[in-house]
Amino acid sequence: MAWPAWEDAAFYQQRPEDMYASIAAQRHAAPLHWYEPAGYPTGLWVLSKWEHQRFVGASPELFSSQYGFAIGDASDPSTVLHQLPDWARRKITAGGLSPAETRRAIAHGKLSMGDPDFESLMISDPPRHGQIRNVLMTALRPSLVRGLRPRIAEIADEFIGELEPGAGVDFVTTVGRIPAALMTELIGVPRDLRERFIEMASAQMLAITIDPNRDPAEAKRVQGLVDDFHHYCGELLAERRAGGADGDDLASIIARSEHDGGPVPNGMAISFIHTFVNAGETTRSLLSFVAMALAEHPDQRRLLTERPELVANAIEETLRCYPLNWSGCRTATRDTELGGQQLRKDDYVMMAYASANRDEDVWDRPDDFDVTRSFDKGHQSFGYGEHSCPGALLARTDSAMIFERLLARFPDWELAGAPQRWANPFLQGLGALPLRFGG
Amino acid sequence: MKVVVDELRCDAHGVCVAACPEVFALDDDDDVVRVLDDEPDESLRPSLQRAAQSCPKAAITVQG
Repeated sequence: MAWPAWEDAAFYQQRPEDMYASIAAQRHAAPLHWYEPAGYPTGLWVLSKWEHQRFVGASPELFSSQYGFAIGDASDPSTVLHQLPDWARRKITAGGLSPAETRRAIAHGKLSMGDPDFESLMISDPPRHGQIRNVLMTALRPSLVRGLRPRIAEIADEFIGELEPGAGVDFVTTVGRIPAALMTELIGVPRDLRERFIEMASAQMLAITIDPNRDPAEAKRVQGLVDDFHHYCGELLAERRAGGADGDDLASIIARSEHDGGPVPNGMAISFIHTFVNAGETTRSLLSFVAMALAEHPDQRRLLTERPELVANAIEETLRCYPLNWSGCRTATRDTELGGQQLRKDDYVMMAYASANRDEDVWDRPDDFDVTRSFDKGHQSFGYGEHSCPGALLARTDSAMIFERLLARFPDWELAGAPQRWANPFLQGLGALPLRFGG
Repeated sequence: MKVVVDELRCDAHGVCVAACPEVFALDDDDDVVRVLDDEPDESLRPSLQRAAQSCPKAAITVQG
């Protein structure tokens, strides 16, 4: 059994059974594995066990987020320079950076949206991380999210009402659009601008994957959308500031929040708005995997129609079996022993969430999809500790609401074609999910 | 035995409430979990440890 090529998109695109067999083989033989990906300037530790990942997540003082968050941040810089703004490229090509500093320059450049002063949640440590996160969490505070339930139900019913029973429909572009619609409302975008806003916002992700040397026309089109997005966000914030900013939408909350004793910097504000949009996309993937799993396991779906109180658990089980984010990375801040291995200061450490989610020491029959499973020990799909997903409660709340409504309206559905899964070394999702609703 | 919740970390997911309702409570308008009893009876240790372990933010510590 070949061990995982964690840095290679093809590894994640194979049949899931084969991928998980390879991951399990490594977990059993080498739970803490020093891995040297082909073409990478240095190796990295792969942590496969749930227990080790929990320790890392709970110890931000030992494992820093400042020096990269994704496996790709450790790749040969010459292969990612085209994804970076000029200032980051200059910093790297000038030389003299340590491997950890190089990872930081790559991660920072990718996240910065061109702004060298930009501070990202993803690559910061306590106490700074908490200060930035608190601004975002004001718009995601639990009381606010729980209070959204009636509005989520309304939006869900609107989209579910458009499904035609008996006909083949693509779940991803129908029910799957609910989270983006909800997010634009939470940001404070007027309804008539919803689709245009989503198009502009998704260009940001496209922009870092297009190589302008290979496809200059597409790169120019996407850059135009990114500029429009920044311009629109700036206008939205200015409008809120002028209007008193007393609403509960994200734009109002940012407009009236303080950071370092002054207004929230524009780059940070835009990154928060962008985080909301991306969260809409990952929630779309989550919903799609829930719908797919329940189509493939009709017995489990019937159980949910009999016992709707299990819907929230079914969302957790889907997250466990189909993590949207494969892994998260940290950098050791000093020499540390973990699981019998000696980690050195500045070593890069990858937590393979997909592996911990099937760790036999935590989960019985880990490869079975079982909506009655206990989650006393949580899955790793939202991460754990300081950097765990700020939108987790919202994702859980809207997914459970949507499936409660959907199951009440359509107790039965089946696949009407093959699901189209996409995957890269960081994320996975469904591009299309043809379903037929009945009942 | 003493229970401490890091209020700056708590995101009020409420996982601890399900694991140990004798000690933790959360209403819809709470943004941080409420500790009903910060020196609970020894008999609650197993469910308290489950609560600490299941907290997605690692915000709960059981001392002693």
